[in-house]
Amino acid sequence: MDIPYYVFLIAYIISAFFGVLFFSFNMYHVVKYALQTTVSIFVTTFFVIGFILMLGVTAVFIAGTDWQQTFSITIGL
Amino acid sequence: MRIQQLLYPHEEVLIMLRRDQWILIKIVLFYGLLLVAPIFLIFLLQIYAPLWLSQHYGDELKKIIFVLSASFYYMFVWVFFFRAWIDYYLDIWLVTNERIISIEQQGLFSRTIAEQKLYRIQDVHAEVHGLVATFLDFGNITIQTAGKQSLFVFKEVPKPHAVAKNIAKLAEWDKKMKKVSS
Repeated sequence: MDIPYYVFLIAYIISAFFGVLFFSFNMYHVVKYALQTTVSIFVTTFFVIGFILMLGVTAVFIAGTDWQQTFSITIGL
Repeated sequence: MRIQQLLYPHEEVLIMLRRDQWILIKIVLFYGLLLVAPIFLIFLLQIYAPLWLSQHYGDELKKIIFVLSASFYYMFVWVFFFRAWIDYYLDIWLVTNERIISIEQQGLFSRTIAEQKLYRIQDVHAEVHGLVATFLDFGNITIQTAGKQSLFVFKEVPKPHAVAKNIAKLAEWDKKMKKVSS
Protein backbone atom coordinates (compact mmCIF):
# COMPACT_ATOMS: atom_id res chain seq x y z
CA MET A 1 0.00 0.00 0.00
CA ASP A 2 1.47 3.37 -1.07
CA ILE A 3 1.13 6.21 1.39
CA PRO A 4 2.05 9.76 0.42
CA TYR A 5 4.42 11.76 2.65
CA TYR A 6 1.79 14.48 3.13
CA VAL A 7 -0.05 12.24 5.59
CA PHE A 8 2.57 13.26 8.17
CA LEU A 9 2.20 16.89 7.13
CA ILE A 10 -1.56 16.79 7.74
CA ALA A 11 -1.00 15.32 11.20
CA TYR A 12 1.62 17.97 11.94
CA ILE A 13 -0.62 20.83 10.74
CA ILE A 14 -3.46 19.65 12.98
CA SER A 15 -1.13 19.50 15.99
CA ALA A 16 0.37 22.90 15.06
CA PHE A 17 -3.15 24.35 14.92
CA PHE A 18 -3.81 23.21 18.49
CA GLY A 19 -0.39 24.47 19.54
CA VAL A 20 -1.12 27.91 18.10
CA LEU A 21 -4.59 27.87 19.72
CA PHE A 22 -3.12 27.07 23.12
CA PHE A 23 -0.47 29.77 22.63
CA SER A 24 -3.24 32.26 21.77
CA PHE A 25 -5.06 31.42 25.01
CA ASN A 26 -1.82 32.10 26.91
CA MET A 27 -1.41 35.44 25.10
CA TYR A 28 -5.02 36.37 25.92
CA HIS A 29 -4.35 35.91 29.62
CA VAL A 30 -1.09 37.83 29.48
CA VAL A 31 -2.62 40.79 27.63
CA LYS A 32 -5.69 40.87 29.88
CA TYR A 33 -4.00 40.49 33.26
CA ALA A 34 -0.25 40.88 33.11
CA LEU A 35 1.01 43.14 30.33
CA GLN A 36 1.69 46.08 32.58
CA THR A 37 5.26 45.63 33.77
CA THR A 38 8.59 45.66 31.92
CA VAL A 39 9.27 42.11 33.07
CA SER A 40 6.04 40.72 31.63
CA ILE A 41 6.50 42.57 28.33
CA PHE A 42 10.06 41.26 28.01
CA VAL A 43 9.16 37.67 28.90
CA THR A 44 6.11 37.66 26.62
CA THR A 45 8.20 38.99 23.72
CA PHE A 46 10.76 36.26 24.39
CA PHE A 47 8.13 33.53 24.23
CA VAL A 48 6.45 34.97 21.13
CA ILE A 49 9.77 35.26 19.26
CA GLY A 50 10.72 31.72 20.26
CA PHE A 51 7.40 30.35 19.08
CA ILE A 52 7.52 32.17 15.75
CA LEU A 53 11.14 31.08 15.22
CA MET A 54 10.21 27.46 15.82
CA LEU A 55 7.29 27.56 13.41
CA GLY A 56 9.41 29.44 10.89
CA VAL A 57 12.21 26.87 10.90
CA THR A 58 9.68 24.06 10.45
CA ALA A 59 7.97 26.00 7.63
CA VAL A 60 11.30 26.29 5.78
CA PHE A 61 11.79 22.54 6.08
CA ILE A 62 8.20 21.85 4.96
CA ALA A 63 8.63 24.15 1.94
CA GLY A 64 11.80 22.32 0.91
CA THR A 65 10.27 18.82 0.93
CA ASP A 66 8.45 17.05 -1.87
CA TRP A 67 5.34 15.83 -0.05
CA GLN A 68 3.93 13.98 -3.09
CA GLN A 69 6.47 11.18 -2.73
CA THR A 70 5.13 7.93 -1.44
CA PHE A 71 6.36 5.07 0.65
CA SER A 72 4.92 1.59 0.72
CA ILE A 73 3.98 -0.57 3.64
CA THR A 74 2.83 -4.14 3.62
CA ILE A 75 0.09 -5.15 5.99
CA GLY A 76 0.30 -8.89 6.65
CA LEU A 77 -2.74 -10.62 8.12
CA MET B 1 -8.15 43.15 35.15
CA ARG B 2 -5.15 45.21 36.26
CA ILE B 3 -4.27 45.69 39.91
CA GLN B 4 -5.19 49.41 39.91
CA GLN B 5 -8.73 48.48 38.83
CA LEU B 6 -9.15 46.40 41.97
CA LEU B 7 -8.36 49.26 44.35
CA TYR B 8 -10.70 51.86 45.83
CA PRO B 9 -9.86 55.54 45.21
CA HIS B 10 -8.01 56.13 48.49
CA GLU B 11 -6.56 52.69 48.77
CA GLU B 12 -2.84 52.01 48.43
CA VAL B 13 -0.93 48.77 48.15
CA LEU B 14 1.35 48.24 51.15
CA ILE B 15 2.60 44.72 50.41
CA MET B 16 2.56 42.97 47.02
CA LEU B 17 3.65 39.35 46.96
CA ARG B 18 4.28 36.69 44.36
CA ARG B 19 5.68 33.21 44.86
CA ASP B 20 9.36 33.15 45.73
CA GLN B 21 11.84 33.38 42.84
CA TRP B 22 13.03 29.86 43.58
CA ILE B 23 9.70 28.59 42.20
CA LEU B 24 10.39 30.43 38.93
CA ILE B 25 13.95 29.08 38.85
CA LYS B 26 12.57 25.54 39.26
CA ILE B 27 10.17 26.10 36.35
CA VAL B 28 12.99 27.47 34.15
CA LEU B 29 15.31 24.57 35.07
CA PHE B 30 12.64 21.94 34.42
CA TYR B 31 11.59 23.27 31.02
CA GLY B 32 15.18 24.10 30.12
CA LEU B 33 16.01 20.45 30.75
CA LEU B 34 13.12 19.33 28.54
CA LEU B 35 14.32 21.65 25.74
CA VAL B 36 17.91 20.47 25.96
CA ALA B 37 17.13 16.73 26.37
CA PRO B 38 16.69 15.85 22.64
CA ILE B 39 19.93 17.67 21.73
CA PHE B 40 21.75 15.79 24.48
CA LEU B 41 20.23 12.53 23.25
CA ILE B 42 21.48 13.13 19.69
CA PHE B 43 24.91 14.02 21.07
CA LEU B 44 25.02 10.72 23.01
CA LEU B 45 23.86 8.78 19.94
CA GLN B 46 26.62 10.39 17.83
CA ILE B 47 29.20 9.22 20.35
CA TYR B 48 27.89 5.74 21.24
CA ALA B 49 25.87 4.71 18.18
CA PRO B 50 27.01 6.80 15.19
CA LEU B 51 26.08 4.13 12.63
CA TRP B 52 22.54 3.93 13.96
CA LEU B 53 22.15 7.69 13.53
CA SER B 54 23.44 7.73 9.92
CA GLN B 55 21.39 4.67 9.00
CA HIS B 56 18.16 6.07 10.41
CA TYR B 57 18.62 9.74 9.74
CA GLY B 58 19.79 9.29 6.15
CA ASP B 59 16.51 8.12 4.68
CA GLU B 60 14.26 11.00 3.66
CA LEU B 61 11.09 9.61 5.21
CA LYS B 62 12.77 9.13 8.55
CA LYS B 63 14.20 12.64 8.29
CA ILE B 64 10.66 14.00 7.78
CA ILE B 65 9.33 12.07 10.79
CA PHE B 66 12.30 13.18 12.89
CA VAL B 67 11.96 16.89 12.03
CA LEU B 68 8.17 17.01 12.41
CA SER B 69 8.32 15.11 15.73
CA ALA B 70 11.03 17.44 17.03
CA SER B 71 9.00 20.47 15.97
CA PHE B 72 5.88 19.07 17.63
CA TYR B 73 7.82 18.34 20.82
CA TYR B 74 9.51 21.75 21.02
CA MET B 75 6.30 23.61 20.18
CA PHE B 76 4.37 22.01 23.03
CA VAL B 77 7.22 22.25 25.54
CA TRP B 78 7.52 25.94 24.68
CA VAL B 79 3.78 26.53 25.06
CA PHE B 80 3.65 24.69 28.40
CA PHE B 81 6.71 26.66 29.54
CA PHE B 82 4.85 29.88 28.71
CA ARG B 83 1.77 28.61 30.56
CA ALA B 84 3.83 27.75 33.64
CA TRP B 85 5.33 31.26 33.69
CA ILE B 86 1.85 32.83 33.33
CA ASP B 87 0.60 30.66 36.21
CA TYR B 88 3.50 31.87 38.37
CA TYR B 89 3.20 35.53 37.34
CA LEU B 90 -0.57 35.87 37.68
CA ASP B 91 -0.71 34.60 41.29
CA ILE B 92 -0.55 37.80 43.33
CA TRP B 93 -1.35 38.54 46.95
CA LEU B 94 -1.90 42.14 48.00
CA VAL B 95 -2.16 43.80 51.36
CA THR B 96 -3.54 47.31 51.16
CA ASN B 97 -4.38 49.83 53.86
CA GLU B 98 -7.96 48.49 53.75
CA ARG B 99 -7.98 44.87 52.61
CA ILE B 100 -6.14 41.71 51.79
CA ILE B 101 -6.65 40.57 48.19
CA SER B 102 -5.82 37.14 46.83
CA ILE B 103 -5.57 36.75 43.05
CA GLU B 104 -4.93 33.19 41.92
CA GLN B 105 -4.74 31.84 38.40
CA GLN B 106 -5.65 28.16 38.56
CA GLY B 107 -4.99 26.75 35.11
CA LEU B 108 -5.83 28.64 31.95
CA PHE B 109 -9.54 29.26 32.40
CA SER B 110 -9.91 29.57 36.13
CA ARG B 111 -9.11 32.75 38.07
CA THR B 112 -10.09 33.48 41.66
CA ILE B 113 -10.04 36.93 43.24
CA ALA B 114 -10.92 37.03 46.92
CA GLU B 115 -10.73 39.94 49.32
CA GLN B 116 -11.36 40.62 52.95
CA LYS B 117 -11.24 43.73 55.13
CA LEU B 118 -8.24 44.03 57.42
CA TYR B 119 -10.35 44.36 60.59
CA ARG B 120 -11.95 40.97 59.87
CA ILE B 121 -8.62 39.18 60.16
CA GLN B 122 -8.68 36.92 63.21
CA ASP B 123 -5.46 34.96 62.96
CA VAL B 124 -2.27 35.06 60.89
CA HIS B 125 0.35 32.38 60.90
CA ALA B 126 3.38 31.57 58.76
CA GLU B 127 4.86 28.17 57.88
CA VAL B 128 8.22 27.29 56.41
CA HIS B 129 8.78 23.62 55.56
CA GLY B 130 11.69 21.95 53.83
CA LEU B 131 15.43 22.38 53.40
CA VAL B 132 15.34 24.78 50.45
CA ALA B 133 12.46 26.80 51.90
CA THR B 134 14.35 27.19 55.18
CA PHE B 135 17.55 28.37 53.52
CA LEU B 136 15.81 30.67 51.07
CA ASP B 137 13.20 31.81 53.62
CA PHE B 138 9.95 31.31 51.79
CA GLY B 139 6.72 29.60 52.85
CA ASN B 140 2.97 29.87 53.30
CA ILE B 141 1.02 32.48 55.22
CA THR B 142 -2.42 31.39 56.40
CA ILE B 143 -4.90 34.10 57.33
CA GLN B 144 -8.08 33.23 59.19
CA THR B 145 -10.87 35.75 58.68
CA ALA B 146 -14.48 36.26 59.62
CA GLY B 147 -16.24 36.09 56.31
CA LYS B 148 -17.53 33.86 53.54
CA GLN B 149 -14.03 32.85 52.56
CA SER B 150 -12.60 32.27 56.00
CA LEU B 151 -9.14 31.12 54.95
CA PHE B 152 -6.63 32.95 52.79
CA VAL B 153 -3.37 31.21 51.96
CA PHE B 154 -0.43 33.15 50.53
CA LYS B 155 1.56 30.35 48.93
CA GLU B 156 5.36 30.09 48.81
CA VAL B 157 5.92 33.79 49.44
CA PRO B 158 9.28 35.22 50.52
CA LYS B 159 9.96 36.18 54.18
CA PRO B 160 6.67 34.72 55.47
CA HIS B 161 7.34 35.37 59.16
CA ALA B 162 8.09 39.06 58.65
CA VAL B 163 5.11 39.49 56.30
CA ALA B 164 2.77 37.67 58.72
CA LYS B 165 3.91 39.98 61.53
CA ASN B 166 3.24 43.03 59.37
CA ILE B 167 -0.22 41.78 58.38
CA ALA B 168 -1.10 41.13 62.03
CA LYS B 169 0.04 44.66 62.95
CA LEU B 170 -1.99 46.15 60.10
CA ALA B 171 -5.08 44.19 61.17
CA GLU B 172 -4.71 45.44 64.77
CA TRP B 173 -4.24 48.99 63.59
CA ASP B 174 -7.30 48.78 61.35
CA LYS B 175 -9.42 47.38 64.18
CA LYS B 176 -8.34 50.26 66.44
CA MET B 177 -9.06 52.81 63.72
CA LYS B 178 -12.50 51.38 63.12
CA LYS B 179 -12.98 50.67 66.86
CA VAL B 180 -13.87 47.05 66.20
CA SER B 181 -13.51 44.64 69.09
CA SER B 182 -11.68 41.37 68.49
